[in-house]
Amino acid sequence: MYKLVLCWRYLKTRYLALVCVVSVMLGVATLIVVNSVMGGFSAKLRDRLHGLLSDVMLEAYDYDGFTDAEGKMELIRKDPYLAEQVVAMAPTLEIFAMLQFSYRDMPITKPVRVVGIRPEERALVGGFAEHLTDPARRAKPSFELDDAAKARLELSRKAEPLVFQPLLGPDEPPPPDPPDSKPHVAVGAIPGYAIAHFRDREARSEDGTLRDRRTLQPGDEIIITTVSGAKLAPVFDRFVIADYFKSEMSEYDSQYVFVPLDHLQKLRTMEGKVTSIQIRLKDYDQAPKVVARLKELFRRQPLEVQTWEDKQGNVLAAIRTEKGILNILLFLIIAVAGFGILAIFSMIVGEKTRDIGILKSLGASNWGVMQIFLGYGLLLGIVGGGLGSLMGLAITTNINQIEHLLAKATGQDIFPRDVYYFDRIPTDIQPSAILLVNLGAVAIAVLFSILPALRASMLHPVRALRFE
Amino acid sequence: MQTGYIETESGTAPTPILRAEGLRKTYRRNAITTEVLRGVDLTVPAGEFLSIVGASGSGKSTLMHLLGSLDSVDEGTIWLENRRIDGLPSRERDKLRNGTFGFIFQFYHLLPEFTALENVMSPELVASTIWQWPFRRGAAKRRAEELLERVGLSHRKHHRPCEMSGGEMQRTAIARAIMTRPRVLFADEPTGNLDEAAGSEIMSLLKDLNRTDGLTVLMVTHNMEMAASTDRVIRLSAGRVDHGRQTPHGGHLPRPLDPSTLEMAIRGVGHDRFPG
Repeated sequence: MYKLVLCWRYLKTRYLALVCVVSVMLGVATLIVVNSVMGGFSAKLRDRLHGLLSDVMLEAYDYDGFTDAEGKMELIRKDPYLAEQVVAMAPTLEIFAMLQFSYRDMPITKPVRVVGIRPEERALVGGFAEHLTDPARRAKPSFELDDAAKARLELSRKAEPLVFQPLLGPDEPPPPDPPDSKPHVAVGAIPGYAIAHFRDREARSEDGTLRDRRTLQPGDEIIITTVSGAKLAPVFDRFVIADYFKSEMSEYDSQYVFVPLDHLQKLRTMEGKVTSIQIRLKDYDQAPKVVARLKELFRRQPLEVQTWEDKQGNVLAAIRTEKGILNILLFLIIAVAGFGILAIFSMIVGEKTRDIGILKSLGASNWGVMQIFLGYGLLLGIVGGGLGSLMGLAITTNINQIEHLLAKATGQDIFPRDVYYFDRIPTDIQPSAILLVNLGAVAIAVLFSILPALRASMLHPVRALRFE
Repeated sequence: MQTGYIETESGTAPTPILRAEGLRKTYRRNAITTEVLRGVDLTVPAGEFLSIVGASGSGKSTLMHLLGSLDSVDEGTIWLENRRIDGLPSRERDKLRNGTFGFIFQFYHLLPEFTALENVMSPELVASTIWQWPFRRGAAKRRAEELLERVGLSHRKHHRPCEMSGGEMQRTAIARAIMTRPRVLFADEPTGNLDEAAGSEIMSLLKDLNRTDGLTVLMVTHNMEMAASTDRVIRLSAGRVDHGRQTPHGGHLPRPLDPSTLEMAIRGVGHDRFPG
């Protein structure tokens, strides 16, 4: 019992030990904050990486795609296991293209990835409808123009219709006309938010956040140029902006343009062909089995089957590695605190030598004396870890306010929102991570108290009593 | 074999509670070897108040530490009644120090983090496990309060050692030493750090414990007057009991010696034997 009483008394009376508590506390708090923010980024990034991708994809090896998507989907529906696991499927056609539009009478050209979809079908697969900016369109995804967009289109066509600006020298012949290009037919397109906007670093809204400037709005015309599938000849067509999608993943938001599948197939002279079938599963945990079954089902065809994680494997692995390395590096902070405990405990053992002698003269065993200091280390770890957890949680939950204050005080943008397209610093507080950090801190505190505790236990009672 | 115990004509001597035979202890530090005890034989009857005197470095404290299981012997045997205790495993020796022996030191050696009451309770605290303590705490507290009252420190029970005088600290140390009702009390120069008045108070307390409770007391001291007031005095000289200069022991506990006679005995002047 004396061990517990003395541990507690030492903790209360030895102010030097508070240094250990503070160092453990800071280490634990830092780890929790960094883990939560990294976890938040990781979860958000994972979410966004998954964003436009379905759970499982059946893809062609090249941009020529494959035929009979309907037949393949039917085959999947007929397979007893897959029929049970697959919730929805959507064929898509994806191709690189050039996008042109006019902003303040200036022609702007951007490289994009055009994705042909059937919107309602694609929405069932997930990762599309929820990212559309127009709430009405989220409920019923389509490429239809709303009334305002139609009016704007009408107005702009009357004023100055958008003309194709060939990327050619003045003496070079113009490219051939696109097949069936009919400027009067308004074909809707949904580009990524970052294609239609740019973030103005100079312009800020009242609350201090960066403002986006719109370069394209619903009703504006764009020209998409790509190559035909049959002859590899340049082809282009006009589309009209119907809405934007904002997945908050800059890779997608700045590159993807969704257009109607049948129109893209026609433009590319790839009627009936798609480059992939997106598949949504009932239970993603079953994905490896589904992938195996799909591979077996299409083993004779040049198709690749993979989950979204397989497709984004490198990025996900990089995030995991980054988080792991950061954790190891930060854990060294607690290890440094451990050396502090070792040094301070050694001093306390020196200071308490006579008390150790007294305890031994009263019948305390060597193991009992050792337990005092091990218990002391344990208590320091628990108190430091507990306070550190509270501090870490307080910082994590108020990280955006803290960032705002720091940015105001230093005049520097600490969290560049234009890089991530996040409005707030994402955090993900994982109780298991907090528990692990605390267990680690307590283990280090106990581990580094072993040596001083051993020294204390080995003290000879008579020599300890005579210690000056 | 010679012992410090001398049988008298009056008959059978009291049962020895402690008996040491041929105790040897040598300290080695680096290349320096110091032979502190060179074959000490000693018998302490139960209920005796024995003083051990001798010059500095004569081995008085070492002898006390060996008898009290605070240190281990190089050679020789120590018996507690009929039980040999010199080679006991450390766990058994810890138990002896906790329950059978009590210690008082010159520098009080109270735990600074504890109040007087907690210091007195500390042997019971050491003896109890975390599970036993809730059941033993009440009784331990009552006994500690009784003992503090007995040593006249009821009003100081919530004071820490740093808030007490030397005499008060030593009285607290005495209360602590008898907390577990020990059989033998070892006092290592208990008045060495106190003024005369406080020293006298401590001596009175020790005598009271010896006479009222029948507690066997072994006291190491340099104070001849105090040594003379005890039942028996042995002198250690060069690591041995100086049998020529010890006071005899009677079948019943003798009257205190005259200090001047004792002084002569300690200094080796005059008689070889003193009347009991």
